[in-house]
Amino acid sequence: MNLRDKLKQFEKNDTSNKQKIEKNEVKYKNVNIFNSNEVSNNQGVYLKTSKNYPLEHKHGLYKINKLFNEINTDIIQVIANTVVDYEFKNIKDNLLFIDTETTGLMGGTGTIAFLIGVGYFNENVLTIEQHIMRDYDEEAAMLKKVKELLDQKDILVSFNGKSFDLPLIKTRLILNRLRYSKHRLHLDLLHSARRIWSFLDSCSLGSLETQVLDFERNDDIPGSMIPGIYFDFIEKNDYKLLAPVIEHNLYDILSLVTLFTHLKEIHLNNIDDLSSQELYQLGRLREKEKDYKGCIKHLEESVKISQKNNIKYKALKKLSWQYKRINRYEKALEIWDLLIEKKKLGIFPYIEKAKYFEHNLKKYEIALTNTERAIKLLNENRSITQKYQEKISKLKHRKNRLLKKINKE
Amino acid sequence: MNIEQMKSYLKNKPDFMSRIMAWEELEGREGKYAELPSDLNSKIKNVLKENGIEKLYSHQKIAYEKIKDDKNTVIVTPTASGKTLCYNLPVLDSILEDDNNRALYLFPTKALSQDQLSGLYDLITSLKEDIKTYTYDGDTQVSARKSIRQSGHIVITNPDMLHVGILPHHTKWIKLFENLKYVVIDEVHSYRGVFGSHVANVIRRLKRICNFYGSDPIFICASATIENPGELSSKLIGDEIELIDDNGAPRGPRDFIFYNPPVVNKELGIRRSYVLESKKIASMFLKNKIKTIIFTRSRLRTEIILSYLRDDKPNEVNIRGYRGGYLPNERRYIEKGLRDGDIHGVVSTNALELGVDIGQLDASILAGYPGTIASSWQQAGRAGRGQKRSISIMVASSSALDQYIVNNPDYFFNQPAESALINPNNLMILLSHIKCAAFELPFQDGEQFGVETTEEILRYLEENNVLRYKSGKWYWSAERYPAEDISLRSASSDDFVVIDKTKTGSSKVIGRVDYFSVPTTIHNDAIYIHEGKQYQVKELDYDGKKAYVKEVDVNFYTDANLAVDLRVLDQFNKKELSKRSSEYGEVVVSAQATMYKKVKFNTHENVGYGDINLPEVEMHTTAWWMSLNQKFENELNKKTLEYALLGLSNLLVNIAPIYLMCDPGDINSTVQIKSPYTSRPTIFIYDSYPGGIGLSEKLYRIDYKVLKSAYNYLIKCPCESGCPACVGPVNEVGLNGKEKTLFLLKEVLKGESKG
Repeated sequence: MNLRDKLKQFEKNDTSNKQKIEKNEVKYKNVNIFNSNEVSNNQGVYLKTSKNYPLEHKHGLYKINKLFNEINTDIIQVIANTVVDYEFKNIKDNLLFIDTETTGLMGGTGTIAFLIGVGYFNENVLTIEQHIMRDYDEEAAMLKKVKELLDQKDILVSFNGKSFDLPLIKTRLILNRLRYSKHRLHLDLLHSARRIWSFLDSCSLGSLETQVLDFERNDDIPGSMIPGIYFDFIEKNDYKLLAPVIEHNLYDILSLVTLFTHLKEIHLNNIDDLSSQELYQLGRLREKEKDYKGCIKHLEESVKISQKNNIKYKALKKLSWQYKRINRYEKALEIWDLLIEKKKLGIFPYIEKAKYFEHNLKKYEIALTNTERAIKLLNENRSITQKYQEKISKLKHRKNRLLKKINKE
Repeated sequence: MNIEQMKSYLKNKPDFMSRIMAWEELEGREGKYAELPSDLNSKIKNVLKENGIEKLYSHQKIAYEKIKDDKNTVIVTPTASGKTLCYNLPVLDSILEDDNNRALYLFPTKALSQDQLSGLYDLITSLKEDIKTYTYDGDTQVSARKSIRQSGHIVITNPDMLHVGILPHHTKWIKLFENLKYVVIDEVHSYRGVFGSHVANVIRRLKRICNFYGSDPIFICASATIENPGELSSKLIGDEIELIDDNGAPRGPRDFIFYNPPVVNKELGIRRSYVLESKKIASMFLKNKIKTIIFTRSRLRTEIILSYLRDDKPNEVNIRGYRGGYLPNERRYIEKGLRDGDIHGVVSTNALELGVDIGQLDASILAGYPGTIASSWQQAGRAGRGQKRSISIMVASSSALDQYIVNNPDYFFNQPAESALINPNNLMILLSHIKCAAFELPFQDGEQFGVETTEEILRYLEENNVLRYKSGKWYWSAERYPAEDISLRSASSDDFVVIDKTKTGSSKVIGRVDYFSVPTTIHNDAIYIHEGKQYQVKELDYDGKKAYVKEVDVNFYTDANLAVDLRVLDQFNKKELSKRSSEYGEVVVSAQATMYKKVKFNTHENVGYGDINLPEVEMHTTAWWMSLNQKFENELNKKTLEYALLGLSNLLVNIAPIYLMCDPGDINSTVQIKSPYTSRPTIFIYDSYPGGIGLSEKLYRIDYKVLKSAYNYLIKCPCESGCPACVGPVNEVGLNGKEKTLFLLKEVLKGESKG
């Protein structure tokens, strides 16, 4: 076989000319295609790019400085859907945006983050630095610098960094015998975005850019090509190959800033042209946070502007529960009657009405009528499932109870 | 009836006794004991005493001392001799001494891991100590994995998971690797051939990772009785190891009986079906309330015997099947039933040969010689625990190997058990694991991975753009995750699932089938037998790796024919002899299922045929081949020569396993009347495993001896003109097949007598 022939050849060759393999002095090509400089520390040399964006710079929906509008620990907690037990001071100075480019997407110790892009605020600019290893022997120097930056900031902002970028950086640090220290807060905007835009076909940064953030990339390289480009680069040493990766990563970090700003504005209720779907999702989030007032407000708005029926009725259903909770039964009743009139959501409005008339108003006859209608509807649309059996037996139970109550009277 | 009563009942049964080829009464043995080690943690001592263990068996004590003396140790233990204490004592003791200590347990199967977990769990619960013990394998919930990685004191897993799920992610296991004190490898005898060679390389990778984190674990191995436990373990762990083979456990008396079914067709030398005979004996035992395990040689036979037994049993007797392909919880349930005594009999493949705890059984029936002496003793040992009397009956099939064994009981009872062969430096295997190792940690200049030629392999990988050499280190430089492409067992990651669609609207996975068995077992319309029920394959989704089946009730099973094509890739060695040349080397075998037969139960007659349209499966392996010189082509016509070649190849496959000490299924043959490679009439015998497991090489070395024995066997075979036990039946090799094979052998052997 090939290998055996190969190895037989190796046996014949003199193995002492090892120097041949080691490429001496590397000659890089097209080094001026982007601004960069070699950085050295006690671990060696690596390549760094640095770019400053004035805070007036607009990326997609917002100028960068919009991020600082009304930013505080509370709103960050809402976006992160978590509780922190301290107050962040100088948020602006404590943010670190991070995004890596890697040699593979599968993870494992053999995958390398060859480019680590970070963004932070510096006086009146957003500085985006990209730390790049031009070959495997530059990793230690690059990581040392990145670790310093990581250690300086309290709040890390990433997109899918919790399950991808940070574990990978942690693995690389360990392999270079460096320890990773945890951040006070890691804000993974993928999770924050999913809580609102789960109805989109994809919640990738790219699709959020086009569908939400109003930003369109030209000639962007697909992420799946990046490992191949890097392997090509370390062979050919041509900066031209890296240029599109560098641009791709820059946009990723800028979009992180815009996405963060947009999420903040949404949660601050500063945006008045949200879609009914977005409003519905916000209503659900407020419900989970037990902010029922906020929940009702968003759901009402969602219903009001809704074009698509399925969202409208989903929102109405939730809304009727909220009205029940705050004892606004007349509002709830309106919804149930509307649903019955429009023949939506099956037996749900009948059951709710039955409950209301039985328990609240003690009008058993009306409750009975609604129960019987529900039974009839269920039987007409019966499916041969376990659920049908469960539902019908509950309804029959209710019917019997009502009949007893009526008889007593 | 108890065993004694059954024994005298059998002895007074003339038709039974007339078929007995050997009846060995093996004596029991008193146990040898030793005091509990004085330095053993007093909490452990107390728990042992609470469980009635006042003393250890002598081998347990020696093991404890060696291990505590930081010696790699292998303990040879027959079934039921308390091997788990040999490693659990030092491991638990060291964790009680220092809470940071960690241990890794490796078992060849998930079933054994589960079994070990429950045993350890009981012990730890009685200790009332917080020693965290977990299994970590494909069945482990994702949500539980993180805490296992961080806090498990004892992690129980299998080599496959270590290979694909743990080592490539070692940075997530810092706590384990920094503090790894012991690595326990149980059932080391099962790590032989290709699997063992892979595992030895996984261990090399493990040691490399430990070295990175500054730990240097002690290896504790446990093995069943084989000829070379020390050598095997030493090769497996790549280090010296102390052997403890003086077993101190008591042994109950055992009757070992060789039973040969009567000849029913003298012309063809055909005996009554050993499957039916085994079933008859098992049925007699079960009816008399004797708990019995029946071992079969294949999954299909397990199911056949199970369904026969179920048709012929009293209602209160509960019999189950057990084999690979059953789902984990189903197997757990059966194991528990056997321990608790709710299940009275079990029909199993060799899946139960390993140390799954199934409690006390009285009798074992081996339906057919299991292929090796070591396996035979393991299977027999599943009956009888402690000092209890037990009985084992081996029912011979009409195959040459079985007949050889039952006709030569001295060979069986006096021969040391087989040696387990591994070759960790098999180039293909080594190459695979060097890739995985480089992915895990870059290689340093001068670093060796098992072989001195490591650097040459690294350079080869660099040329293929898989590694990159930079500043004295070799880095993984590809997008792929190499461990995922490499299976430690042949094609296990390519399993097909079998889905029961008997009920509309519901579908249930009932089993798994490995890639190489797909064309013969789950082709369209195949009868797939599971838990004694018959299913017919309604649709095979080859790309989706799924077979949809429906339950049926028919009186036949299906048996597929394989068309085999063999190509030589490389010749490693060659000898020219007077009448033939003999070579061995690397080949690629492609097998295509072409058609299947419907075979009626009981009578085994053909009741129909069907076509199979599936892609061929390919395997690279090693082969021995022998080509005949011109003389034979001059003297025999083409058809006769082909029959003679076929006869000889059948005969060699029958005889060679005795000398290769392997399972009959481990080798296969094919013949080519004019081989494209040798241009001569050629017989090929090849290893049935991808990559080969060294059988062909051994055959190349001893081929004269094998041919000679084949000749002696053939002249003694009682059949008239060919039978399955020698050259094959007449309808396969023709009326003159036996005669011409004999002629061929005689000619070949002439002039080689001093070879």
